[in-house]
Amino acid sequence: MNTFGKYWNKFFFEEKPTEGMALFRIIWIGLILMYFIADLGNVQDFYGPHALISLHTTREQFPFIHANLFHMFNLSYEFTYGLIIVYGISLVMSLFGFLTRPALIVALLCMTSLHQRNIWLLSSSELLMRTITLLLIVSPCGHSLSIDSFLGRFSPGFRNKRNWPLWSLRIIQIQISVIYLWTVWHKLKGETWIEGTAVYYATRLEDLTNFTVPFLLNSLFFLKLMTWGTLLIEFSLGFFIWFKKMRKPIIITGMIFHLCIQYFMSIPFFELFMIALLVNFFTPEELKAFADKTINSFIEGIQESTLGTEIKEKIIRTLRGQHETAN
Amino acid sequence: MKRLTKYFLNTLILMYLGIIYFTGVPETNTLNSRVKQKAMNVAFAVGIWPSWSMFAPNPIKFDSKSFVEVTYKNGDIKEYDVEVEPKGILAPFRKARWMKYSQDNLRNPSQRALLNPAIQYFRKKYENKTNPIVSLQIKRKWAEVHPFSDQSIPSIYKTPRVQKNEVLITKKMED
Repeated sequence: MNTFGKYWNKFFFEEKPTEGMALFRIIWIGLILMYFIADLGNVQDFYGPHALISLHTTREQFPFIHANLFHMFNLSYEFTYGLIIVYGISLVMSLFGFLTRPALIVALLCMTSLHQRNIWLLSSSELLMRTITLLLIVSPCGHSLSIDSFLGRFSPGFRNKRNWPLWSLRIIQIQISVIYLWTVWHKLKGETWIEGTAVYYATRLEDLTNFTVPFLLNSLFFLKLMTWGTLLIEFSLGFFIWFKKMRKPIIITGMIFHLCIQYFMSIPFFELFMIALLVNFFTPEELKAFADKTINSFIEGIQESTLGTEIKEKIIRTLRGQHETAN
Repeated sequence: MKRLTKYFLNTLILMYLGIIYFTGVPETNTLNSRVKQKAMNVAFAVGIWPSWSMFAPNPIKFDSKSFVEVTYKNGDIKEYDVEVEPKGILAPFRKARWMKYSQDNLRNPSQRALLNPAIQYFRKKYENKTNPIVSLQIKRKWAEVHPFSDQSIPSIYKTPRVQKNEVLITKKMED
């Protein structure tokens, strides 16, 4: 029991640099912001008072207690657009890490309300958005690479530790594994995945076709290889990724796998979300090194630029200071 | 880290893992079923119910489109695609949610409750005050992908399809 306790403590509560979570925050919120912009054209059809589904129908068909601001206010265009504006602002604040946690809470509340205004438009992408944003709230994702961490140099109210227990990152990693293992488990119940024909059917759907490689998609051998390969890769991403020696090759394979799906199939955002999520399996030290390297190359670029010496020094001091703030 | 904080965090971690586990596993016994229901309630409340299908258990084997057929008082009949066709570089992203609504849900026998609200929406959308709508029909046209055969794989460009039509709902406006 004692040994289990030690492992549990090390696994969930070991303190590690927070730059990795911050980097993930920037990528994740960046993608959600893209989604937000793409969705702006749908406001009247999906969320407004004269939308495709009335609020009454939503209430009747989705009777569970759930977080939805639409149920608390009178449905009007003013409220709908107000919610959209607040959502947009909170996303931008989360992206730049300004009042990160409150901004993420507001973003999640707006996101959940919009999603649950019409649940018949939702796919796994929206589910991922909600689940991971919820977990980001409890993570130290605003402790570095953020306006908060910059302001922490001047105001104690913004000061946060740069090393933090791993538990929130671990929950995100477990959640990612569960996604892959869940889908493999359910796929094994379907005959097409066992027979090796699933990729044939999936790639023949006209509305989901993106680009094609006839050489691969017309070949019996490759169709079967891709079907069974999908099961193997997804199982590896859920299970073998936890083994130290296999971690990096599996992350890279997973990223290539999702890029290939994106190439063949028009499934907006989901594959990009999954690629972003896999970043969390790099160790916090690896991600910190990457963040430092990026900042250093940015500093080198500024040094070589034609800006005035005083401005250069100010920018460099800000950048250096930001990632040198002590615990 | 303070002991109390750690207890709190451990409880939080165990609760989250419990929700993930119980919302995902099948209902195999009474206890499991009861806990699953409670876990689902929490998952719905915060919007994290599990649904990671990703073409599981099987990819669908047909392309499906829903259309609205509007009959006007002067006898004109017009057919509109339910899905809005967005334009611009963001079109694929905007279109995805229309596809989900039209291709997965509106046509689905388990989602019949969506049909009447859809009739109301399209009535407003296509109304013409000088030539009122007499009836509205929502129908689905679908094409089954040629069944897979080890003997010959049809070309990705010319996979044969079996065309089918189905009327989902017809509503006369005088009613």
